[in-house]
Amino acid sequence: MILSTFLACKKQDVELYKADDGIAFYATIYDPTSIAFSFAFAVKPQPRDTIYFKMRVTGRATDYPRTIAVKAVEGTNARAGIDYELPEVVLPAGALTMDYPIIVINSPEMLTKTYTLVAEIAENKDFKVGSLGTVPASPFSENNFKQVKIEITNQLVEPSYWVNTDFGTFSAVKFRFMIQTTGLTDFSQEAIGIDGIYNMPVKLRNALAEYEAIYGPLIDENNARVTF
Amino acid sequence: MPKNNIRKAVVACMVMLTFACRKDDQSFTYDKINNVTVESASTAITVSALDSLIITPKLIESMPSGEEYTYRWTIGTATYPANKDLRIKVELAPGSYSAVFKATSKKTGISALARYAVTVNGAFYQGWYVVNNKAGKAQLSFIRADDVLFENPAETVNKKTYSGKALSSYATSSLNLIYFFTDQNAYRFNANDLLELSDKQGTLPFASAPFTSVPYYGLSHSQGNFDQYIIADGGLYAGLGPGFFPAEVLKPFSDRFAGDYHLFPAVITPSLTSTFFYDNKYMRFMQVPYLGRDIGIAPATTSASFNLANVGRTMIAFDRGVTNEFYYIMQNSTGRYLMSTTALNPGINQQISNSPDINIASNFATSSVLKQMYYAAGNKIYLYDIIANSSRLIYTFPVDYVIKDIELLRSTSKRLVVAANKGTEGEVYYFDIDALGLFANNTFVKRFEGFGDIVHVNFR
Repeated sequence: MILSTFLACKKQDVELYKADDGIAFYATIYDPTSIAFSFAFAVKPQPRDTIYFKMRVTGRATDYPRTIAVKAVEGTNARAGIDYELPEVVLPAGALTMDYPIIVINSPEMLTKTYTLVAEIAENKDFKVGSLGTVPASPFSENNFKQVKIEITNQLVEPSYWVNTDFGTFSAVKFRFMIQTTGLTDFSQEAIGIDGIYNMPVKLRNALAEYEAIYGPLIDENNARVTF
Repeated sequence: MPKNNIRKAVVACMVMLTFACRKDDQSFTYDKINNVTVESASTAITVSALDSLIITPKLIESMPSGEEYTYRWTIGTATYPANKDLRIKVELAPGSYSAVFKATSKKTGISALARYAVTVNGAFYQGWYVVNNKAGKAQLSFIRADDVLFENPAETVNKKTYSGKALSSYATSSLNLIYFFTDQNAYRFNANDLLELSDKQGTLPFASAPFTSVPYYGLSHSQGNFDQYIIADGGLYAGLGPGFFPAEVLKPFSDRFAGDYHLFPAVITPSLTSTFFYDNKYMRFMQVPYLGRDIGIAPATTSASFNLANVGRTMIAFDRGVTNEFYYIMQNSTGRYLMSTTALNPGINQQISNSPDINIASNFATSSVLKQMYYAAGNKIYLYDIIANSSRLIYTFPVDYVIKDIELLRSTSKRLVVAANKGTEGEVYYFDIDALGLFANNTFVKRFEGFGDIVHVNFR
């Protein structure tokens, strides 16, 4: 009986699932998946800027660093090295997430033109593409996806956050007036706070009334009177 | 196993079974012990923060023998010195606590427990703020509900002098804030401890100072509390209220609302969706929707007792009536008028007649239970019967007194608080009001002295 007890159990090797690791962009409901970027919003002229997008590994952490590559794909008319750079970056050993830097370059043509960059995960020796989807499956959940889109310009274009503000219809003239009045270039809720979303229009209305008392109505590029 | 051993084991078991059970004669000796219980005058105690909490439990022993006890006091998670009587300075945050007293006999180890429900109020939990100027300083004095008088608690708590001329103060129960205005500044205090939270820069940065008139503060309708408003020198400023954005209530107020108006210092809150104001420049009501930052003219009511959009009189006072009812004292070249709205429907519109000194009256307070209004002129207080449209004198201070403010205790309308100055020395009087609206026994029930030149009183 003792002998049978010893012989009854035997270690069996279990086959573990194994696949190549992937890397993907990801966003929570609070993160934008496409961005309208304008150098015109900067307080001082900038030759270049960096936009960060969240990335995470679909797989395991490793005890050695790995490289991440991103490439421009169909839909892009921005020019590599002139309008943007997609650097190869290193994911440190043990890391599973990082912010990928997309470098946008202030090219002279951007004064009159908007360029589009569609950036997608590029497969390399360390990572496969970690998501099949090009955009989040739902804007209200946290998703992986493989592409991000950036509109790059040096013109005053409607910022992505504008729909969440109380400043009325966007126009470049209105936006320039806001910048001149407040000294700010970012009017997102993150920048001016919830109280700013509600209270800043009061400041702008007062400033506009002063302007109109001297110069008359402020007319925008769409031939509409600017109001707040 | 050898048979010998089995036999030994069987014998051992038989021996054990034989002796295992034995008849018990059930003979016990009982000794009486000293039972201890705790007796207290009260087990529900209310105390103010920073005051002394004293609990003196009485141990009742069934067999007093002079034995010693160990004691333990806990309030919430805090423990206190192991004495029978608890004597501590209350440094707990306002709230409800359970205090537990445990006495344990060193001789028998028997314990007695008592539990007390302790309610800690803020040091300034309820009472009257008295805004006054004394010795060149702005003072925010406080008469607490238990009649304890704090002469200048804001200065004491914040270890600073409030310069300038004190103008007004307002309390918000739903926000736990006190606003205090001087001609130079606008302060916000925590209502529980009067710690200063912000001055004008953090409260009302876009208003011009010095203020040339008395600023007013009010919240929008109490069921919504969406917005806070300050009216300063006729201009309207807004801050977010706790209704939607409780984390934003301490942010600075907006710029002055754009527009051609000069508001009387009143925030009229008949509606959840809109707050109303009165423009003394164009003599009409105005409105602001909740969370709105535009002021517009109130809807016209041309077929009612008066037109909200074109009243044509100057507002000189306002107060509350019953729910959603507001009274307004208006004047024009023909005299003074009592007007009212209920849910912003125009109501009373009558010229005040048969009322001595009404044209020089400086302060007004309307009842929330009776159709009556108190008004003060010089050193006299009159009671106006709204329905009869006539007034009578109900109290006269000595001739060298000047009444500076009158306020009804709004929760009952059964107490009128009167601030009167004798020269630059201020006094506050409590008058209790009987069922007819008259002062009980024709005199005050309490008097508080020691203030400087009083300019405003307000209930918290």
